[in-house]
Amino acid sequence: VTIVGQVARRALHALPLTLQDRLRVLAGRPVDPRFGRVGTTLDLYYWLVEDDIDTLVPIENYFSVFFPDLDTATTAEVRVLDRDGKHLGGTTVSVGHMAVPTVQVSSLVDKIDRPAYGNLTWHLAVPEAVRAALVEAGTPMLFWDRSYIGYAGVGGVAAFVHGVDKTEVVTETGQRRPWPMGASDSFVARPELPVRLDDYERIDVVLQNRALAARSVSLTATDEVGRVVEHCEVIPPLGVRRVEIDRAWAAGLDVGGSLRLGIEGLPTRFGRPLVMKRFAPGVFSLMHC
Amino acid sequence: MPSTRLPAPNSGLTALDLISTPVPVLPERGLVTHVGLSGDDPLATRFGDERFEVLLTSYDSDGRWVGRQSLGEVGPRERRWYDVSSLAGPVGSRANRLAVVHRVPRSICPEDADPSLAEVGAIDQETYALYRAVVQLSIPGGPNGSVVYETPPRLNDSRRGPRRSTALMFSSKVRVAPGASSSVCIVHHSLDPAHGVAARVRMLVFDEDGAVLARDERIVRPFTVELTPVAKLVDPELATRARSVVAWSKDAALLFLLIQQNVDPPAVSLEHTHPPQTYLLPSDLAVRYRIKAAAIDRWDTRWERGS
Repeated sequence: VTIVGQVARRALHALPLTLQDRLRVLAGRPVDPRFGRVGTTLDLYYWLVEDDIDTLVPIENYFSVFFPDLDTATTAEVRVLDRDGKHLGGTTVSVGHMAVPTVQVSSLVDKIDRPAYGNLTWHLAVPEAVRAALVEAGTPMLFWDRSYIGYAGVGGVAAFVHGVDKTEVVTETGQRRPWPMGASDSFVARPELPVRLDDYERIDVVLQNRALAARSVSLTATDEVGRVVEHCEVIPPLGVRRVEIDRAWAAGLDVGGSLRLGIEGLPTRFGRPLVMKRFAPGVFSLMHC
Repeated sequence: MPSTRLPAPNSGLTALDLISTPVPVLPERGLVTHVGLSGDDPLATRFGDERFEVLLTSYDSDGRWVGRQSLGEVGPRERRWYDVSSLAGPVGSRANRLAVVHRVPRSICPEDADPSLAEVGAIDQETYALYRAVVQLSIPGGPNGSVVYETPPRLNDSRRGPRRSTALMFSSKVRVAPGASSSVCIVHHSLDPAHGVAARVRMLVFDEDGAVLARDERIVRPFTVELTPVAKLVDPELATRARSVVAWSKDAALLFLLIQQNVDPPAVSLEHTHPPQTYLLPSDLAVRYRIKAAAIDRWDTRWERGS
């Protein structure tokens, strides 16, 4: 069995990464040995800075929750990208045991014109005590930082939403690798949310490209009698586009009922869109679809 | 409608619970609950012609089964909103309570069959994964916030053998300011109608530096929801420093939602939390549950020591 297992493992490693990744997931073994014994995978987050809205990055030391008796003090590196996926700024912060330091994105991108938006990631390094404990126990582990990003509006308004799907892996040696995805992966999403434009001034549909190549993405809104408005974007690598749907955008549709959204071309199946409901300047809520 | 809880119909998952979402109804916070449903597969790859009967199960604030009603159908290319606050009994209740929204595929359970008795197989569970409901909380006449989720598989269901259900939750979605508050909403649901385990839930509130600001312990009965404003747990002089919570239970799996409410301007938003095991991608998947269980034990030990 051991020899067969070794042969199978070698054969698996010879496969292209995307196929290899799929097979491992099918086999219930999602850790890829090439990521090292202990690594992390990062989500992609949407940020925006406007006159009435700032973005908060609350970096939660989740290692402390799993290992409350270990010294989990560590550091986090925040990388801010513009809407085209280009590096805009960043910072490194210390994150103590059970700590949640919060970075305001406006402080990292103060030289850009507002309003602005883009993507960001943060990497919370695996604390040495956690890494050592897992290695000693012989437990390869890829941590997935499934955290939340916050948005602060006027008069104390705040909303939080989780990140969008795995984007990048940081290996045990600190190397950054894109999360495996196929060059032709292109998924369709049919968000459950019934869009009712009477309920808000507008709704922003945020489309993030987690791939390292440009992707063509289309967004459709369909009314209850089947009329359709379509919007297409080519989104650069690690870029993001925001489609602002209001009554003018939806002209030609019957907005008295519920609209349904459709998105095609996203590179990862679980990277469905984020929507931001705008009720008044600085008053909003968000959700993932 | 009967006022007692239904007996367990069989030992497996039924068509009633194949696609369901437990929903908090929160009149005590002045919020109205709507649920948005789709007749489409969110991944657009399955069941293109499927129609679903929509059912709503209501409980009172003590977790007693109040009734179940049909809300009609939702089918392909359709989206529907349902005013759960108005639909979920008992009529006129001003207490927080649980409701459960179900979608029953017509292809699995025809119109004349009882979905609570129609057992489905493991294949059906897998193939209907990721069908979720939009849960929306709104301020009457004002803004709303929403989130999408579904009932986790086998939630607190030990009918097919003993199963230790536990909960560990952590979240950084905490902000307290004058006129603004975060609340932890605990939803205690089960796919077993006879589930009778009350859950002891312990919770710690932390500041930005990781210092404990408050401790809370409460019992959450089955088929109820419990809403805890963080500001009520913390010394008022320290409340604005609250940044995160950790909560756990050794008695039951629980769903946790974090709700933000603002007074002026009025606003509300909410977001679910991720099960802790989803943060862990080990090569041996059993390891994630061992780490979760060990973490709960350690937090409990620290609690008992008062640290």
